[in-house]
Amino acid sequence: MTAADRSSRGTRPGDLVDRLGDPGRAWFVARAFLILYGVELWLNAVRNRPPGGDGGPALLILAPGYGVHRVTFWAFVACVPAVVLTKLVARRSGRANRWRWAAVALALLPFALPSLDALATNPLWVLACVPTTGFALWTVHRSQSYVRVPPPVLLAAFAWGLLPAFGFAAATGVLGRLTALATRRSAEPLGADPVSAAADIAGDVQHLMAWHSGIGEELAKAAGILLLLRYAGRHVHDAVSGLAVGAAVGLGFNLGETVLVTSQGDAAFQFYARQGVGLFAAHTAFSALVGAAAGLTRRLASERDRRTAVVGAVVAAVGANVAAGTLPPWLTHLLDLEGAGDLVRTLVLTPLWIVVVQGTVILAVLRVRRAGLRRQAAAMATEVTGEAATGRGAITEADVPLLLDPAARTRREITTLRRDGWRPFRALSRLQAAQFELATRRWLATTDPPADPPADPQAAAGTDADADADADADAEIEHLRRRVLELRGAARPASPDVAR
Amino acid sequence: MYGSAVPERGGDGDRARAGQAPREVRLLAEAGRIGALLLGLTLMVDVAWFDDPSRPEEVRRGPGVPTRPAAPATTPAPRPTPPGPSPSDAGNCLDELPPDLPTSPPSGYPTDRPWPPFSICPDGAP
Repeated sequence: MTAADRSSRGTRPGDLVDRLGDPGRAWFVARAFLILYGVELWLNAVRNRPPGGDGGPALLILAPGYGVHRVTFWAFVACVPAVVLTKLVARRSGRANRWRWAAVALALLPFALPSLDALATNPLWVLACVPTTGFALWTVHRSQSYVRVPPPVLLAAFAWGLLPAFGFAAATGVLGRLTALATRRSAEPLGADPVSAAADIAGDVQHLMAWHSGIGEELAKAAGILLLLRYAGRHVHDAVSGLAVGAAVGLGFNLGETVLVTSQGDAAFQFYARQGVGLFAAHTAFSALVGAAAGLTRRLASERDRRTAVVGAVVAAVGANVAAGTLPPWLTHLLDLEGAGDLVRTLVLTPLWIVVVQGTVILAVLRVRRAGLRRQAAAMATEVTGEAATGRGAITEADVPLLLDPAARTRREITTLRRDGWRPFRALSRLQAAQFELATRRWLATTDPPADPPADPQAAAGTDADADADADADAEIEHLRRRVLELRGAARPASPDVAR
Repeated sequence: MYGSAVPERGGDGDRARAGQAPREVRLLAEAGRIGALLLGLTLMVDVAWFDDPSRPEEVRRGPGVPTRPAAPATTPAPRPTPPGPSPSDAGNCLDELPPDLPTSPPSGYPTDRPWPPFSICPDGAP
């Protein structure tokens, strides 16, 4: 977050997220979801016009058997006037922003329904996914060696991936599939019996759906990253933090998809592929790359660099997603491996195709993370040492070696947990997190990219906004120092050397 | 700030002076190029292979392909319960479909006629 952004958003020291204010960007995303879903419905209706055919619904999604997707359709129909009404109330209300946020929630609600339905109807598979997905989230959190995105922000990212992103992808995916079917069989009265026809020729449109899903899924997940960048931007400030948020979005999406797919058959294999060998690949890796690019834009001064980073990440994510739906069966055919046994397919081919098709994206994620961590390490070395030199006591000279050595910190945490128990361990973790937060604020305050030059010359002449932003940054750093000192005081009684 | 004209502490000062993007940006650009290659390859495969009628049925079917589950992409379509034959089929139904009924119509079959030409009879129907 730039100093100018911070000032304009009215962030106060100690806020977990930026003060929400007008939901401009959230409304943009919610409106985009509604419009895209509406376009899918329109295509569905237009393509489903059998020449001379009769009977059957005008919209294939209304055919019997589509359960939650029909509910989603009616929720969409109901939410549009509700959203318009809420927006009208917002114009006349003294609490306009609250009503606007309510409109955003209403607009996104239909897209949470497919996910909620999948979770509610498959509780055992949800339970089965808790250990694996929980472990992955914990790994993502711990992989940030210095300053870490707070768990509530990470969980918000996870929730976006699980609910609106996955639900939107599922809802539009079904519509897209039916539209493709209607297009494929335009000479037949598909509308009279769309379900049988869908089952009959599903394979004919499978490759089309790889494109539809690949693009739709990645954009739905990226929308969540965009929102977190806007509303929790103080914690998503570079490639490493962005990567963590993106990975959390991907893990949420992966959980929704796992639960849905395992409930439709071949459950053990699907669970193994999505919660086992593919847990850190696929959606997790694709969104991590987009998140890393989004976070990186906070630290880039050049517009061209920002554009290159974001476009590169999105193209890589979409490309790998589309390819992952098409290339494995083609490679299997090409190498004449269709006759391979279950064991070979499970233990050899599945991981092999992940490496072959998604390996480059996974490698890119690891390399971007390593480069980001190196940059953080260099910045922390400067800022931790600099803060210790101020003599204010938030970071002491004795703290420096431990803070700058992630492995030593982990060892100290384990020792504290084993020797002193949970409370001292938590106190130590919170103290070190606050110390890194302080060092990071110092880093960001000295390296914020300059704000775009104002168009108004009079505004350019005035440096009041910059001065205010600097004052805000100083106030926040001072607030963080006090917080570290409070935590140090709380940690000390439990263990005298807990901070060292 | 990375890649700025102004060098920063712990930043890419030298690289910025040389007009070069930061390492992370170059890595992401490289990933984007590979992503574009994957898209191109997928398109070629779609055009050259998926329209090939000789491709194996189990591969053409997509969702049932054993190797596909590793792919994250496509959200499978629901498997709805067939709603039963429409009234217009009532005079042209069977107790059960022949097991060897092909999934697609034979060549020469009129394109404006539904396939299969009959359906399962509703309960009680002759």
